[in-house]
Amino acid sequence: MKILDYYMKILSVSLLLMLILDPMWMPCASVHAQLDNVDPAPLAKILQDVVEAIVSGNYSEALLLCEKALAISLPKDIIYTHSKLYRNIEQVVNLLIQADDVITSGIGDSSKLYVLLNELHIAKLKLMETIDSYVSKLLPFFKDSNMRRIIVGSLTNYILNLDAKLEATLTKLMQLYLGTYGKEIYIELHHQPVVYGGGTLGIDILSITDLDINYVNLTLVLIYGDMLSQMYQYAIPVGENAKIDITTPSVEDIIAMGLEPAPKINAKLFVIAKAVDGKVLGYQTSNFQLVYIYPSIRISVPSYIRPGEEIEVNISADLDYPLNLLIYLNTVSNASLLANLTLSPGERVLALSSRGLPAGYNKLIFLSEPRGKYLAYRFSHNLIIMLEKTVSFINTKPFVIIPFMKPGLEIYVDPPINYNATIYVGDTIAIRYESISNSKIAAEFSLPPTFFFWKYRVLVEIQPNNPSYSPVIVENSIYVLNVATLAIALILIAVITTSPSKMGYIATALILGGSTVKSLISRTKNTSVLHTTVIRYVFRKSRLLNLYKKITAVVSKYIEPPRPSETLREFYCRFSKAFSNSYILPLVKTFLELYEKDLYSSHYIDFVEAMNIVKQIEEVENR
Amino acid sequence: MLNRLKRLRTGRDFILMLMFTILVSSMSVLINMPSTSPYSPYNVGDRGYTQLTSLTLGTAKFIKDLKNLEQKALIIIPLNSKPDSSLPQLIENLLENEATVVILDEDGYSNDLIRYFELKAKIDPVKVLDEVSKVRSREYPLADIKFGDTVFEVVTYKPSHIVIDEENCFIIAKTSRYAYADIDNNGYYSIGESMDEYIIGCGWRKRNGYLWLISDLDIFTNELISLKDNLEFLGRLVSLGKVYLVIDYLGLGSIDVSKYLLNELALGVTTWGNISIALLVYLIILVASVMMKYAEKH
Repeated sequence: MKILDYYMKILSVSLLLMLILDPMWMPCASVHAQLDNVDPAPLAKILQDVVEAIVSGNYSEALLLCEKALAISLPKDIIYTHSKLYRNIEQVVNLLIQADDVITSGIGDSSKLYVLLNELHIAKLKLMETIDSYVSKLLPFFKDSNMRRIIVGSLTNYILNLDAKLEATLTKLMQLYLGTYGKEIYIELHHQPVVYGGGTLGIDILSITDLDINYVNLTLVLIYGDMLSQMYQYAIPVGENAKIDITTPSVEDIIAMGLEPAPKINAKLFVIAKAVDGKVLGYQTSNFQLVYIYPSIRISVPSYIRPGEEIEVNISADLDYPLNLLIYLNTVSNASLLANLTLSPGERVLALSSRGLPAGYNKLIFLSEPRGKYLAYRFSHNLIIMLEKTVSFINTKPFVIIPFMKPGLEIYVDPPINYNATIYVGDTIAIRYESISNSKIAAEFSLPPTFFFWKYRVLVEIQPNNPSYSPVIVENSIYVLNVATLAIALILIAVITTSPSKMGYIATALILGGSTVKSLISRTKNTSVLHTTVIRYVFRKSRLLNLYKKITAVVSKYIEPPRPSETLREFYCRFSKAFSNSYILPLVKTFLELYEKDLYSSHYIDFVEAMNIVKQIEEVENR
Repeated sequence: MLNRLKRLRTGRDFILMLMFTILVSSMSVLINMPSTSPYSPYNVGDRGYTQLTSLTLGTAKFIKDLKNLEQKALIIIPLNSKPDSSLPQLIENLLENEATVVILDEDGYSNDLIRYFELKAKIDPVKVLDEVSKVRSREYPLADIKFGDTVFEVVTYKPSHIVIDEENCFIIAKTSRYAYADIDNNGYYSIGESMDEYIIGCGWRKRNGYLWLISDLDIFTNELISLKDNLEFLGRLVSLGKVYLVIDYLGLGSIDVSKYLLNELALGVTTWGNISIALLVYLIILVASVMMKYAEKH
């Protein structure tokens, strides 16, 4: 059993070490590196497949592919446009499914058809815009320019086919909406292909018919992008050219409707000829573009000016009509408005006051308000208000001994201008001078109470009264020595240390405490001198102390244990008198001799012999 | 004298303890330290096969010799190095015994084997990428494996593809039609590369058994086994019977082989969960000895 116990001990210690060394929790990292960038070609391919499915009328396939495309995991920078595109495609496909149903089954509810027509038209415009944006997003991912050219070219063809398909569906729906008998009047339209916002769309209309009528009622519907539509009604003579001018929406009209104007908007014109009873006799459609532009304004502002100078702003405006121009400082708010003026076509020079502008960098913001065909224009320019550099230095006495000296300094300022000077000692103002014209002044100031010795920081702030000059701060240090308090303190210390008071004794005791051997103080008291010596003794601990304790524990059963005042020999005498065992007595004597040797000498001690003695005594005692 | 004896005893204790510690710790290190070799059954990292046994609750077993295997078993043979010439014959014997043999091969090591069975197929070691049907990135293409009435969407990692010139396969696993073989290995679709469906797996009825070929070594690795339908696919394979994964052709190092031998020789040193069974046994012995000592004293 003992052997098993022995090996179990070894095993347990080994186990502990093994647990420490056990690497079973050691992580093992081997992770595949992943490609971060998108490969655009498969994305273009799936878009092509979706478009092809739509064009070929396989809408279920198109929706399945959309679902697949929406499940693709992509980086953040493209995922939004990607999802938006396929959501738009899904919307268009669903509308196309509805449109096909309507076209196949014929017109049901004309108002629903009108809604479908509008929705499809708007969805088409949105989709085309999203496709443009998506293709632009894909372009940077192509590593090979040839590949980019081939794939984008192919994709463009597919998109054109999709556009044609959607346009054809829209036309069919329009025909259905207008009726199948709408060819009794032929309408010919002519107008400019591009018109500026707020401008006039001049439409030449010629209506030809075999019907016996002199005038025909025309309804003109204009749809601008996916934003707004206008409707007009006219009666024009048949067989003659009629000219109709329509004012297109200006940029402020669009903004007033809460919409954001785009620089280019695709617009569609529907002209519907109706009989008096409302019957549609004919129709015609055409496209044009509504364009908004940024005003051609060039603004020239100096990069820097001196304080107080006027800011000369050169404005060159190539405009068709005046615009309102607002000028702001740093931010666009009513509080920061510097000027509000009407900007007429041509060149002009504007002088702005710089009064109140802070020195340093300032940003001037020019904002033209949108009007007619002109979009809002924003231009900003950094303007620095430069100050002349003021040079100043101070001359101070480095040491001040109070109360014999008074602190002072000399201030030099260049160029000689009118200025204010403030002297700080530390953080507090020591003295302030106003409207000084001399370039050199001498100043005296008072100091905070200084007990013995202190270093003070002296700051002089020069604030020129002319705003063209920059303020300046100069700094220096002075050392202050208070001789009076120092002398008093020295005298006090001398009196305390030499007087025979209790305090003196306490101070002396404190100084003496902790030293090992010192002879420190010679203290005079009329006629006597006191010398003090402190000595620390160090005893080594006996190696037989534990054995000695065991022996005393055993013999204490028979006699009183060794007393503190008793030597070992005295104890043995007492023991030998009280105890007469011939076997134990010599053992105790031998042990005490060994213990005495160990305590008071440097002789070799047989430690094993001492252990044996104790063991023998314990064995006898245990019998 | 007694003191000297004591010192001697203490020294002997120390040496014994040290030897025991070194022995036990070395074994522990060898058994428990995870391997870093790709496709090692002891690699707990992404590219290891450790979860193959833990997730199948021990149904799948690693073996080192194809001889004397159970009949009708499913034997997975990953080929990460060129097999010896005896492998075709061994596989043929297994197929005769109605076994199902699944060969995982990305680098075309199995092409000779396929020829041996007079099959018109071969592994083309060009890696297949797929930006559309994928997990994480295009290097992890998804492949649809039709197994009975179920279609498993299995994740692969840079698989090769199989070129088949026959129509006798009873099963075919394909990528989406947006996958492409990255011939120039630049990680992108390039001019000249073909974007199409690629065959990642196929199976034949041969002799009395079935022979499968899958052109990806990673589908059962720790990284992929829990993704998409990989585990379900493995479960379906496991349902066919006992599964054996042959480690002879994985190109493992001597440490992995030693681990395998230790596992085979000493049942107690296998790792179960994250606790070494050997460690558990040692702890039980320790507790028993402490209790015995306590009983002896009282």
